[in-house]
Amino acid sequence: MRRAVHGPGPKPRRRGRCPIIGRSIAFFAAAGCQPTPSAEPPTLEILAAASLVDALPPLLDAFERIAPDWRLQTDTGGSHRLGHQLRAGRRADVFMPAHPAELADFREADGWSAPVWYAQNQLSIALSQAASIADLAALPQLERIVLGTPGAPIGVYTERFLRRGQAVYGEGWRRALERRVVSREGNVRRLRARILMGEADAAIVYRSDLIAGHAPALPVPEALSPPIHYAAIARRRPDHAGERWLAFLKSATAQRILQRHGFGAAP
Amino acid sequence: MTRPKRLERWPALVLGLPILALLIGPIVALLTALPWTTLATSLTAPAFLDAAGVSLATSSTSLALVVGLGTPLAWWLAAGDGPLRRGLAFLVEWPVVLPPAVLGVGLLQCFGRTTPLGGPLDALGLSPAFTAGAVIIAQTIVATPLYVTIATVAFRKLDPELLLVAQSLGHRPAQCFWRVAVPLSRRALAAGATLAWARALGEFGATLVFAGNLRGRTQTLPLAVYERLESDLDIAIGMAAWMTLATGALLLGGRTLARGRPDGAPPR
Repeated sequence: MRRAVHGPGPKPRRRGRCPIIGRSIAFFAAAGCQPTPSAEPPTLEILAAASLVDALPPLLDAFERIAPDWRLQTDTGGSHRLGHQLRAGRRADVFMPAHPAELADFREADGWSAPVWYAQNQLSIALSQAASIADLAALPQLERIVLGTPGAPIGVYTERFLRRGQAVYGEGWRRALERRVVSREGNVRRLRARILMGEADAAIVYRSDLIAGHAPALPVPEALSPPIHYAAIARRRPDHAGERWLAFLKSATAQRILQRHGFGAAP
Repeated sequence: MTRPKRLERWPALVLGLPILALLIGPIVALLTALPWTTLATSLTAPAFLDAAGVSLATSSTSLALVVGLGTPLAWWLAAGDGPLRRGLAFLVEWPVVLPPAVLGVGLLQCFGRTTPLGGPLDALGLSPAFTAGAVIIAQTIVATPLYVTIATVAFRKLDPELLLVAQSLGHRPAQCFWRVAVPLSRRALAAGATLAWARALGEFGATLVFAGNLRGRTQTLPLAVYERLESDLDIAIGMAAWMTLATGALLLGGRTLARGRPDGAPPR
């Protein structure tokens, strides 16, 4: 989980490139930079899927240039956990899960906007440095494979991929692959961390989670990857803050940032 | 001179009430969240049975390690109060205050495949990461401090003259330990073991980071509760309630054992 505060006052220090430690530092850095409570600036609290963790900071920076007076708070983590917190009454203005099914409980009648579809993604296999396989058929030859839990969006998409893969490579492929699974993680960034730490040989993640120039990857053919569409909703407020963020996500600037981080264009 | 009146302490209790309520609140809430029938059916959920199996197997192995290796260590620690013993006693207690997730990262850095120790282990096919062995390692580390600390105190309380008598009757040091010290401290040792077992059962953070989460292999009850929160709330709460009862029973057992006069204490 990561929580950061952006807005007027001294800016929080950008976290470094260190992928695991940087997350936790951002939390403490944020704690020390509360703006002075003179004129309370409008606050926008955004809950976003773990897969958006790298794309979100540049998105926030770009939005700050349009709306410099706003305080932006973000919390990233497993979409399912965030959705659960929202259902349990957590107050947040924007919800950006990795699976549109998470939006089902937040209807317009309850004060939420209609979903805005702003990005796409694809499944991909992140491999460790040592793992070298030529194609998906050889995936079960790797010793340690990590997958998402069935409740997490990455787990849901992975299950669909496995079903499609089974039709192509046979039932034995799937059974062999599942025998190699050593852990199921609650969000996609933890799968990525297992690869980064060298503990797993392969992880089924999103294309946007691949580590540029760090580890090899195996693309999942379009025919096998289920469609992955990102939608966001906003709580309707008198100042339309959330809706403005949603409109921003569709802007050329935001789309450029998302595509730089491996996401596909809005449908 | 009249005896001073008994010191009134009830205002202190009043001040302590809020924190008492805070401590008891979640436990009462967990035990009353579900009707008893749901609680009973949650016992037979396959996910619960798998996790309970993993938890029982790993925590009882951890307990055997903690008692088997911790008792001699405590026996040695109890023999004096020099700088070496104090230093080692400090190291033994350190894991208690270490955040479990931090411990998990430490274990990965120690046993991970890319580390000086983990690399050769992996080459030999003995890498513990993602195995029940990893769960046992994590549980043993968090449970050992509790047990060794209690056992050390118990051994310190032994009447030194009893040990001298045993020696003068021809007992070798190992016999003094086995035949005199351990039997005389058995209540305290059992109490320590019970608490250590409860702690091992509850281990979560280090297990999640170091051992991973795979049903039937490394998914212990606390991990199963955490995962089920995302899919099946009733089963998650059911498992949580049963864990509350089980650990409560262990704590009660440990406290009952510890309350009796240590058998080896010198008579008053």
